[in-house]
Amino acid sequence: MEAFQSRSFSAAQVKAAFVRADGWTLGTIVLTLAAVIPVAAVVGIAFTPGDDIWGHLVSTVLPTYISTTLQLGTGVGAGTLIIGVGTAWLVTTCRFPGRKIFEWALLLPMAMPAYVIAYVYTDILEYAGPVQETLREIFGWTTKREYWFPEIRSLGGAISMMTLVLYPYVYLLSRAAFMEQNICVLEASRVLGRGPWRSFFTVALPVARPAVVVGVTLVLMETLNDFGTVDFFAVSTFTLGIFDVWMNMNNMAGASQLASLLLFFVILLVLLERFGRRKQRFHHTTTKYKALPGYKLSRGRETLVFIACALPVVFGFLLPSGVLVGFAVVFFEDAANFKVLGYAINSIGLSALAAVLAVGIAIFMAYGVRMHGGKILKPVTRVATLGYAVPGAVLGVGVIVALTTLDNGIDAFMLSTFGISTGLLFSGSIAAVTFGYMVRFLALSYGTVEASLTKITPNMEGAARSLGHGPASTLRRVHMPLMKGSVLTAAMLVFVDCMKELPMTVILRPFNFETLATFVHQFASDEQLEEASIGALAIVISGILPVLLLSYAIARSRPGQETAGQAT
Amino acid sequence: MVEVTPSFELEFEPIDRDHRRLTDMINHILAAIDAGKPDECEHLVPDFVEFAKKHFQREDAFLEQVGYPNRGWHVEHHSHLDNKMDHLIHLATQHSSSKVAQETLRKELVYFLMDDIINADLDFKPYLIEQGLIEPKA
Amino acid sequence: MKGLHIHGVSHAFDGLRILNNVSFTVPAGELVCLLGPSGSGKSTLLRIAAGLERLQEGRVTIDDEVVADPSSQVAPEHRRIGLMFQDYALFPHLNVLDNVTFGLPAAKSATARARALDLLEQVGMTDHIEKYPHMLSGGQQQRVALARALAPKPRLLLLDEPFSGLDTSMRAVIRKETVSVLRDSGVATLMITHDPEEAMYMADRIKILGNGGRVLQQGTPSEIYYHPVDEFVATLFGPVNRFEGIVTAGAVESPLGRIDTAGMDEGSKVDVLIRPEGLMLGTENGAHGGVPVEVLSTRLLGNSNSILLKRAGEDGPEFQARVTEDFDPFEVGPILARIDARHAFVYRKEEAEPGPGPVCSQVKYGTTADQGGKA
Repeated sequence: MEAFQSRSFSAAQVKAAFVRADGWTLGTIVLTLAAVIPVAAVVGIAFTPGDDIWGHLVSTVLPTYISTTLQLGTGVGAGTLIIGVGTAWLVTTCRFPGRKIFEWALLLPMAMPAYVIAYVYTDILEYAGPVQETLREIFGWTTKREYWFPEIRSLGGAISMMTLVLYPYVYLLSRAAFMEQNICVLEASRVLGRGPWRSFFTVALPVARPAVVVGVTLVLMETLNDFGTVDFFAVSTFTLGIFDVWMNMNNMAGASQLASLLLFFVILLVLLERFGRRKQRFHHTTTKYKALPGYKLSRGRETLVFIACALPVVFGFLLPSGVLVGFAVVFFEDAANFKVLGYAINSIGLSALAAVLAVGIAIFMAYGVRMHGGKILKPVTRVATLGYAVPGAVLGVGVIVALTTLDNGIDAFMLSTFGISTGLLFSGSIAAVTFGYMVRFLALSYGTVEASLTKITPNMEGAARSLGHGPASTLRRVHMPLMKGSVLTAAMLVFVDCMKELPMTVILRPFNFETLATFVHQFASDEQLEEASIGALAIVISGILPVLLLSYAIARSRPGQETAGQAT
Repeated sequence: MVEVTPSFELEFEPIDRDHRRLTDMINHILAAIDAGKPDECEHLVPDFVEFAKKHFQREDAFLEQVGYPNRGWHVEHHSHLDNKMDHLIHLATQHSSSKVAQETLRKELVYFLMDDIINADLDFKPYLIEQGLIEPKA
Repeated sequence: MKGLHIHGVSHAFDGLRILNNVSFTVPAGELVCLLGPSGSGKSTLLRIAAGLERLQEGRVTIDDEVVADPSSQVAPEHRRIGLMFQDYALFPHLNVLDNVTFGLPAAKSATARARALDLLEQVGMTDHIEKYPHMLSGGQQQRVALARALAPKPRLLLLDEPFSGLDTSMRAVIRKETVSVLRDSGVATLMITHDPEEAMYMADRIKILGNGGRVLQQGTPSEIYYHPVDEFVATLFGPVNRFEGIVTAGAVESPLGRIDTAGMDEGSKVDVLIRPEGLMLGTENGAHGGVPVEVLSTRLLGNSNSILLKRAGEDGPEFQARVTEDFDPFEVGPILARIDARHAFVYRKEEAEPGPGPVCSQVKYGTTADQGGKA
C-alpha cells in the first residue's frame, strides 16, 4: 500500500534538518571560533594600511627568508626521509643483533627539543670547544686558517640538528606502514625473483609512500615552527624574520605580513598531509600479519646495519644527553639553584594547566560529535584542531594581536562607561600563553580522545540508555572508565609538548616569567649552557615519557601477537 | 483478554463501536478456551467471522461514500483476509479439541483483531480528521 | 493493551524513504519477528521503538503510554525497554555480574544482586559472574546480554539480529534457550532478522518488510510460506524456478504441467514461481501422474537432494527440484515429475511485456531478493 503523503511528514523533515541549538553544538562552535581567532587576527592585521614596511621587507630580507626556509625544509625533509625510512626498513625486515632494542631506541631523539641539541653540539663543535681543541692539539694547528672544520652555526648545521631530532616522525610512520603490509606481498616479491633492494624500491616503498608523505609533512611543519635553533644559529628563516620584525623593529603589521606568507606555505603542507592520509586508507591490506622473518645477513652486513641504526640514536640522543649530564655533574653548584626550581615550577604548572584544559575541551568536543552526529560538528572540530600546523611564532603574533585588541576594546568601553581604565587584562598574562598552547596542541588531545571514543561502540551507548542511564550517567559510567587510559595519554602528550615549547612562550609570556625552555634558550644564547644544563635535562626527561609510551605500544603491536582478549 | 485502549481508537463512533463488538466477541472466545469449553468455539468463531465480514462490507461502502483515496487497498486487504477467516473457522470447528489448535486459534484471533482489523483501520483516521468527520480529543 | 503498538511510522534519511507507513502490534508475552533484507529499514524501526532514533512520523505506544509522536519523544532511559544487539555490546570494563546489575536501581544492593543472579541462573551463566566479557565466547556473551536486558523487568524487549554473530551450531542452541527464557518472562518481544528460518522458529507472527520499508505481508509462518503475497515474499525462503506465461482457460502451461490460476483474467501475463520442494518426483509404477523428465545432475545436501532436470525428449528449460526421500539417480526406468500446487505461485505481471512472447519463456533459476533463505 502506498502511504499517502501526510502534511506532518514534511514538517518533521524540516524540523530534523534544523540545527538543534543546544549546549554541545554552541559550545563547540564557540571554541572553534576562539581557535581560529589568532590566525584570523594575523591575516587581518597584515592587510591594514599604514605602518607598512612590506615594501622594505620585500626588497631587503624577504628573498633571503624564502630561500633559506626552502633550503632548510628541503635539507631536513631529505635527511629525515633517508634516515627515517632507511632505519624503519632495516628494523622491519632485517635480522641483526639488537634489532628489538633499536625498534624503540630509534625514537629517543624525539625527547630532545631541537634547540637543546643545537646548543649542545655548538658547545662541543665550536672553535673553542673540546673537539676542535683536541684536533688542534693532535695536529698542531694553531689558528682557524690552517684547517677546515665545518661551521656548526650555519644552515648546514641547522639542517643536521633538526634532522637528528625530527627523523623519528618519519621512522614511526614508515615502520607502521611497512609492518601493515601483508607479509605475503613481500614474500611474493621475493619469490618472483626480486632481491631485497628491488623489493624495497618497487614494492615496499610505493606502498608505504602515503605514510612517508604524512611523516615528512609533519617534519616540515616542525621545521617551520622552530625558533630556538634558527635563532641560535642565525639562520634567517621566516620564523626568525617574524621575531626580528616583531621584537627589534616593533612592527606588528610587518610581522603579521610575514606570518601570513608563512601561513601560505603551511596551507600547502596541510593539504599535502591530508592527501597523504587519504591515500593511506587505500593502502591498508590486512590487519592480520605474521612476524616478518627478516632477511638473514652476513656478518659484515649485520655490522653495517647495526652501525646504521646506532648512529642516529647516538648522535641524536645518547651523545647530547651524555654531555648534558656531564655538565650537570661538573657544574652542579652553579646549575642547581632555586631559580631553576622556580622555572621548573612555572613550566610544570603551565603545562599541567594546558594539559587539563586541552583534554577537557577535547572530551567535550569529541562527545558532542559522537552524540549529535557528524554533519555539522565534525568539520567544525576539524577546523578547531588545525592549530598544530601553524608555527608557534605565527600563533604567538596572532594571540597578541587578538588579545591586545580585546584589551583595548574593554579598556575603551570601561573608560567611557565607568571612567575606569582597565589597561591590559589578557595580553601578557598566563591566560595568553595558555590560550596559545590550546590552539596549537588541541589536535593532540582531540586525536587521542577521539580515537579512544571509537572503541566505545554506539551499541554500548544504546544498551546503557535502554538500561535507564541518561547521557550524563552514560558518560560517567561507561565512557570515562573506558577512556581513562587515553585521557591520561592525551594529557601527557600535551604536557610534554608544552614543556618543550619555545617560540610562542617567548612572545606570550608575562613579564619576567621564565619557563625552563625560555631559560635554557636565554642562557645558551649567552654561552652559559653549563648553568642551564639541569634545566635542559629536565626538558629531555619529560620528553622521554611519550617515547616510553610509544615504545610500549610498539612492543604490544609486534606482529603475531593477539590484542588483549578477542575470544571468539 | 484484549482491550481496545485509547491508542487504538479511531474516535469515529460507528467504526469504534464495531471494533468494540468484535473485541467483546473475541474475549468471549478466549474465555471459552480458558474455561476448557473449546466446543463453544464451534459456533462462537463462525459468528465472529460473520460479523467481521459484515463489518468489512459496511466499511468498504463507507470509504467509498467519503471518497477515501486508498480505498482500493482496503478492499483488497479485506478480501485477502477471507482465507484467514476460513482458516480460523476450520481450526474452531474441525480441531476444537486439540490443545495445539486452541493455542493457535487464540493467538491468531488476537493478531487478526489487532493488526489486520484495527491497525489497518487506523490508516484512514487522518483522512477522516481532515474531512472533519472526527473531533480528535488529543 | 499491554505491549508495543506501532502505527503509521514512516522515516526518511537524506530524502531516501526507508520506512513506509509501518503499523503493527506486539502483545505482551508474544514474540513478533520483523523479517526483511538489509536496507529494509528494520533496524531503524527498532531504534525508533527504542528511542535511539528520532521519530519523524507516526506513533509508538508502549503499555498504553505514547512514548513517541511527531511532537514529543520519551528518552530511551525512561521507556523501560530492553535491547539486545548483534555485537552483544557488553561493557568491557565490568564483569558479568556488574553488567547485569547495570540497569538496576541501587546496583550494588543485595536485592539487585539477587535479581541478577536469578536471571543469570535462567541463562545458565552463574559460574561466570566474575569473568569479563572478553573472556567469554560469543554464545556466553549472548546469554549475559539477555540477562542484562531482562533484569530491570522491561515492558518491551527489542532484539536486533541477536544470533547472527554465532556459528550455526551455537545459534540453534541459543535460540532455543532464548525462546524459553522469553516465554517465562512474559515480556513483549520484537525481533528483527534477515533469516526466514529463524523468524519462523521464533515467532508466532512475522512481518515482512520490503525494500523501501513497506510491510509486505504479516502473518503466521504457515501463511507466509504457503500464501506469499508477492514474488519477493515467495523467494525469501530460497531460490525458485521461475518462468513467464499467459493465462489460458483458467490455467497456465508449463513444461511440467498445468497450474491453476483460478480467478485471474484470461490472457493476462503472469510470472509463475515454483519452489524446488514443489516438484514431486516418482516412477511410473506409483500412481503418480506427471510428465517424463530427464535428470541432468543430482547433489546430495545432507537431508535432501538437489536435482536438476528437464522435460524428457525436449531441449527445454531446466528446473531445480528438491526431494527429501531417497533418490537414486541411476534408477532404471523413466522418472516422472509433477507440480505440487501448494508450492506454486502465480503472480500477474506488473507492466505489459514488450510484444507477445512464447507461452513459457526460458526458465530463470534465481531469486528476486539478494538475500534470504538457504541454498
